Amino acid sequence: MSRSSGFDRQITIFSPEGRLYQIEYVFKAIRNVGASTVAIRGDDCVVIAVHKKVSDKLFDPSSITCFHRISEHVALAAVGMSADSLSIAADARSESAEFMYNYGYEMPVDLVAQRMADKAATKTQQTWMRPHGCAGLFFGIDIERGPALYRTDPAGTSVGYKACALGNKETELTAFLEKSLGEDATEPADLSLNGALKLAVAAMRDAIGNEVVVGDLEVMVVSGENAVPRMVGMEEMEGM
Amino acid sequence: MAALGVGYDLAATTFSTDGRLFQVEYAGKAADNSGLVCALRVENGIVFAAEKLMHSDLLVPSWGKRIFTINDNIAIAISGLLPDARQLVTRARDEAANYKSQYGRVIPVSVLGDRLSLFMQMYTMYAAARPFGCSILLGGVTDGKPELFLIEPSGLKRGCYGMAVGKGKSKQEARNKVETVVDTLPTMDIQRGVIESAKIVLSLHDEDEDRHMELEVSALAADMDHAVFTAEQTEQITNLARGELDAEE
Repeated sequence: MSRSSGFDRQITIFSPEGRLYQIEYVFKAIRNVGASTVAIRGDDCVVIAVHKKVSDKLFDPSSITCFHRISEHVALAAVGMSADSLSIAADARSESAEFMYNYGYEMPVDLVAQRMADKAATKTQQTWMRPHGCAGLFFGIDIERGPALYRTDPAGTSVGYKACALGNKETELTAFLEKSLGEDATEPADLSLNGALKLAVAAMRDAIGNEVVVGDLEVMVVSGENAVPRMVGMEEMEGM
Repeated sequence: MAALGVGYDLAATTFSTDGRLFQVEYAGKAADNSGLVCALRVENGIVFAAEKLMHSDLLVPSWGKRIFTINDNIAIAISGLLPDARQLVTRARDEAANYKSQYGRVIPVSVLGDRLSLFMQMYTMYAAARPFGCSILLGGVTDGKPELFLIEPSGLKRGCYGMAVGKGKSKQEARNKVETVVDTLPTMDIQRGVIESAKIVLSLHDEDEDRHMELEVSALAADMDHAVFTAEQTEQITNLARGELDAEE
């Protein structure tokens, strides 16, 4: 293993097998520190659920969130190191506002994600700055293409997803999503807003355990035409 | 434990094999390395209490402040490397003044918190700089509602009902004491809050290890500008707090 011979200490150095170990370590950071997050793109909606467990009595849970509004119709769920998440949210807002100023229309979801990914990629090629320890899920309803869900990671990749999972229980959640929505799914899934919400809760229960209740989840959705991303309250998720 | 981060802990820009930033974690340890500071969010305001460790009898009392006024309705209590923290206090004052100048209204506490959080996070991103070795307790009143935030060297900002920082080994004890009063805080008034926070700080001061200490207490409320209590007032508070602590034993 080349680990001990120093190929993993700096961003710009390739290991003999051609791997960039520092990038791989950043992904470990996201998995270890990030809250379990599941995102589903429905027929006319996008649903993102984050498992929020604030175990310390002294902290006010209402002040802790993974969600950030980027522009009127675009939001971000950032998973990983909290302070870094705030930083990329602020950056994305700035990019979005500049785009609006330059071109006169709101920056589409896929472009925000691509721009943030391109910025993240520059940090993998220089030593003076480290990559952000968080992955971002940019989502919204695109006026031309409908519901959009894009995942941006510190390696500089930006990809569109039908459904995706991040954080602590990433593997288990992804397995559940592939089973329910993949090509081999036994029955077509209900991807209306309600259906997607139910699926998100079911994914959490499958991955984390049946003791997960709706109150442990922080959920944000965007649905319908030209809709603004909004938080989902407990009343709307009753019975799921 | 000491060898855990070996090799991966020399720069803030290096992630360890399991994705940790050791320099930032070490900065967190520096942040706990000072006298205890405690803050409580009570019904209509915030109270701060800080333990100022006077290492020598030659020091003039009332210097070495740990609680700073940012503007009339916002204050910061600092823990860790005090010179680092003073830079943050200056930054906070600039941000607050800039916001007022630009938007024409007083900066909301959580907005100031976000700005300080981003500022502190920025120093964890560059190889040429080091993270701040201090944690700050930012408290204030916005639109009549009190808000309290803990901001750590990584830039992580969390809202709190009450919090204690500092004194490495007894930080957990201090937080446990805050937890015992946390349920009564939403209906507690400022006067009661001041005594409770003083009690927490005084009860954890170790006479043998840390010798002489000076208590610094302050409060702010929806109808009261932030003010650090004078020496006479602090003495009264200390006597009341000690009286209650003795009675409890």
